[in-house]
Amino acid sequence: MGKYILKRFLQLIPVVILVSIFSFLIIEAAPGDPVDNYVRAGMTKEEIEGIKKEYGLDGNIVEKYGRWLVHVFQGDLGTSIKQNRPVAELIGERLPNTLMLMGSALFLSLIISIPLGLWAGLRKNKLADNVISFISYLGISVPPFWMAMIMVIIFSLKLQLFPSGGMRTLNVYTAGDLIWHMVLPAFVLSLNNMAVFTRYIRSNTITQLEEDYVLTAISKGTGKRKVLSRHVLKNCLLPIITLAGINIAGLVCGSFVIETIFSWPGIGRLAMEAVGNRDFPLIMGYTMFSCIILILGNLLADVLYAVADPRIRQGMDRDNG
Amino acid sequence: MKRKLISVMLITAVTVVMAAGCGKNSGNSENSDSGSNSGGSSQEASGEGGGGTFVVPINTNSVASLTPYNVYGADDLLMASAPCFDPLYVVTKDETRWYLAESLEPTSDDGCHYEMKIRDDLTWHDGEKITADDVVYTVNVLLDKANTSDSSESVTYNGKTISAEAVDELTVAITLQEPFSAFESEFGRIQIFPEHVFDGNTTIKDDIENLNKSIGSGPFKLKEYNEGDSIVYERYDDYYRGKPSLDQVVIKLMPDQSAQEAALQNGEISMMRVTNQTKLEKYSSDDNYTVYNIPEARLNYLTFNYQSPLMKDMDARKAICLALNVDDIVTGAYGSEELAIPAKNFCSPQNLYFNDEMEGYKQDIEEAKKLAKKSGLTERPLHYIYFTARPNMKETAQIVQEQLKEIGVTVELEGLDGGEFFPHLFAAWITGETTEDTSWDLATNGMDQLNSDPATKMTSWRGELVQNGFYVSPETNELWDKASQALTEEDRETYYKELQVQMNEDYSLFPMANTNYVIVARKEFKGLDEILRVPIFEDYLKITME
Amino acid sequence: MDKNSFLRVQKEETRISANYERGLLKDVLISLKENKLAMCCSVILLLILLVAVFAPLSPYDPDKQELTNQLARPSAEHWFGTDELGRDYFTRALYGGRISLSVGFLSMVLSTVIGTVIGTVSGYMGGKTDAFLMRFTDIFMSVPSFLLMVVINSLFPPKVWSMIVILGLFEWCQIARITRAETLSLKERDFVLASKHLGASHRQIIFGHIIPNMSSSIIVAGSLAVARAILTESALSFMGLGVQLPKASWGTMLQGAQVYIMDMPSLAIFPGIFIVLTVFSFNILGDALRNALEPKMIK
Repeated sequence: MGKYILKRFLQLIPVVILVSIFSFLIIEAAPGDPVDNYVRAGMTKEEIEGIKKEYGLDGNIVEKYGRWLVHVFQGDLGTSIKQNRPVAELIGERLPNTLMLMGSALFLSLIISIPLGLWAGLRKNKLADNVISFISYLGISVPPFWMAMIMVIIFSLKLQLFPSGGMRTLNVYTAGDLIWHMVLPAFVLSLNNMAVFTRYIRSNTITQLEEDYVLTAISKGTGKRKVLSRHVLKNCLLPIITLAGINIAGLVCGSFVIETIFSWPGIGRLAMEAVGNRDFPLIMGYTMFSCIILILGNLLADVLYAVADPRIRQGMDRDNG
Repeated sequence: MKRKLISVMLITAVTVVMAAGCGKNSGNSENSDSGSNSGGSSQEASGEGGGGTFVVPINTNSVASLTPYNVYGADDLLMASAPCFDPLYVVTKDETRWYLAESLEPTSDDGCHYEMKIRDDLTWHDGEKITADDVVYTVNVLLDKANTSDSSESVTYNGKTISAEAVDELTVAITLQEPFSAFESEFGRIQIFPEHVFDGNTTIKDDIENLNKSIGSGPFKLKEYNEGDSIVYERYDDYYRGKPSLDQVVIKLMPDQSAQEAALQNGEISMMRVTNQTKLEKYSSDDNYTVYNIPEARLNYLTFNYQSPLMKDMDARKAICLALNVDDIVTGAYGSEELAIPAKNFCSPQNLYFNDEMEGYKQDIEEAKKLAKKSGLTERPLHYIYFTARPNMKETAQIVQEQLKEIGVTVELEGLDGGEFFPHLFAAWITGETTEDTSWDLATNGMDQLNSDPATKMTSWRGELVQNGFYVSPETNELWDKASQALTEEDRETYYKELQVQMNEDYSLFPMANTNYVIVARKEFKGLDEILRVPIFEDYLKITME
Repeated sequence: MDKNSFLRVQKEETRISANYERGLLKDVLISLKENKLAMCCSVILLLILLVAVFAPLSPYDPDKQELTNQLARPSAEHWFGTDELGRDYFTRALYGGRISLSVGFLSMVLSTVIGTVIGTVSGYMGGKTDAFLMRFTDIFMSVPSFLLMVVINSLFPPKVWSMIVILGLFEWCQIARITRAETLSLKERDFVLASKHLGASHRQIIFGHIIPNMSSSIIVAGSLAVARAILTESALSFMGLGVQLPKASWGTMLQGAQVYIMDMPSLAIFPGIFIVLTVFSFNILGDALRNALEPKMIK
């Protein structure tokens, strides 16, 4: 098992490096010289060169990239141009907020989609199924930012049930308050996954229900409910874990827009600001972070899948043995 | 099997949430103790003098440093530090309001030597006494190039730095290299920093820890800073001008306009800025809100890129100036005169020496058409850039585009964000080098006028470097020098008024609008209009909650 | 259990055998007839397409401003009202549709072409080429694409064509995987083997036999890709990273409407509904097509 994880982990390194080269090239090709951020009228050529050196902006692109990479391996993601603070620190401060939002969204989409999907699959082509399918199609067709705007108007302004944004009420430090603030953004963020999972569970349930072992169980007199929870659900959950891992990408992208609309102090908003300010070290740092979250999501999904399914685990051991 | 699976999932979910939660706590741990027992949202009042929490939104996602050492021209950052850091004094067209300082006197006739006295009863938020040394230290911090701070502009006039020296505990002697008409008003705006906190070290930009302690001199002191979310200030009881009425002032980082509006209606913030007629009318007629109108003294203008070959031709610039209808632009992009009035020249009515006899450019389509043909404007599309984050710019750009269509000139619009817009507009000014940038022809921008003396605008409209971007005629240059170095009020007035006429004749910019800073506040807050000056709010003592 | 399951299986068998004789288009039409919702969606799409194509028939110029009539409510004269510069919102929505649809459609074409070429070449050649191309695809799939699009669009303000290229370049992975899998099965089929033995070149086989035989899967993947592209474009535009004004896609219109959402919700609702309808229809249609064509694909 450990070997498998290690192997998968090592395979990721080239991916991360290629992504970093790609992002570096894009940023390098952008118009404007980052050193302009530090130059003030009246500085001499030598002073400007000194600044370039200090911020690692001298030399050609290969040198710059090399230096960046070396620094990254030493745990230094550079210093934000606008904020003049280490990129790692800035991201580290806000990462928990984003992870919290993403985690809740994922959790929400799972607990809602599992019953919905099972129900729809069980009542295939009946009214409940049609309604649920229709809604899940809508779920993947509605732009999240639009949904967010509408949710704020309805649930925050008209019904006054939830706050319109922010992470907590001033001077209130309870978990309840935090959750209360998280409901709307997490729900909007979870919509897409909810729809995808529901559709997946539905079709999986339909297939499972036609499998011989289910038919046998039913013919033996096992109740439908028991069959559902014992066999069908079990066999649906495995692929859902993988799907969730893959859909981390959607969460990362979604949080970008949702954080802005709900004034959530996460890394998405930090990145928006960085992009607007041409804060290249911060943009690079954020890109690499999202890339790593995304890849780790996939890896985690694979590993969980393996932990949960002995067949795969055996297969892996054979591979490694 | 099933149980195992579900437990695996649950553990993962819990771990994610826990990890997130713990991270959050550790980030705030030093502050959370002091905060947890003092309740009080914006709805409830407590304590003496009214109390209450006043929440101000700012349009940015991050505040790099709570100590305002790099805030020149950045309104949001100035708003964020205003409750915590007092200015020395504020000069307006009509009066001088004294804060930390109590007097400023010239000590020679050449306009280069001054002495400023600060009050005797001042303390920093950590209890240390504020002295003349702190003022000298602040000037030196701003002069220290290693801080790469834009605020060096506030101690560098017309390219010449000033120097400061402590005469005694409360007196500072200031020396200029040459006279500068805006010195008095410019110098007073400086927010000073405590020398002892930084151990007298003038290179402070990497001292994040101390910068974010935000030991200031104003009526409110820092309570907690929630990265990316809010800055919470609480009343400073030993404030030299008496106790503030409000309990807390909170600066909320909330750049999204509709998020601000939703938060205002929910009472999560206390006020917001409005920039269009629809909202102005909506809130004016709503009894729950009060609308305040602050003449901003800002000039929004259209400028021509002097590097672009087409724009070197005065006929081309004149054609554009004559083609535009400023009244339509102002009503179309801003709304009524409560939000903006058509601008007549590069000074605003709030400026000293404003030339009120000038009438601005008169639209003359026929003449404009002729000039456009003659100067070749009709031959290629003009590239027009604007800053997307500024209000009303997007609308202005589209109206200009339509109006220039009338004289057969095609305009391509490009909205840019700050990181790209300003390097284009002020390329030479920023890098101090001649740069060739022909990527744009027209641009709209705004010029703030925190200061009543026109000389602060020199950085944009004078000198060889600027000429790389904007057009500055030799006559203009000469008048700038004469006006800014004149020693008597009469001379200044004569030269500045002449200068306004001269720049008009040069067709060096098209003045568009003098805007008002219109804010909507929840009605329980009073006194927001006691001092009409941006960036808001100069004096938090005046704001109360009922 | 379902009592009708036997009947249903029988029915599907007849359909499969029927499919064998019919052409692709006929398949699609028949399956649409059976699926009311999909039928509805195709009518909606057709309508949206038609109004976008015939947008110039509107009596209003989408850029013409009427500064005395800003933010007018919907009326007989202006069906969707006017925007903040007094432009007819209905006409702008039609022209916005042209941009949204062409960005969605053309970027789909681009991603489909790239994906199909990479997928078929990879599947057909096998061996090292396959390993390399699939590794490349894997890497591309783990790129945070939306983020990179945000960075690219903000560093290089997009035109309509550059938007199409950027969306197309980031969306081909899914299609490459599908076409590769298809190719793997197709290349072992008799008619491919036969033409190979008759001396057909690789190119002839790929373009003459393999690609035409996966057209149904490509169409399905394509219609889902259009939906995705329209959504992505709208999100980018909403963040202010869309095509330059006064041109506007539905996403750009939503961005402009955001400020007025509490005063004039109609400004946000109309373009939003256009987006939802279009994307929803493409998604439904894509799945309906998949169901209709699947027997043929499995066969």
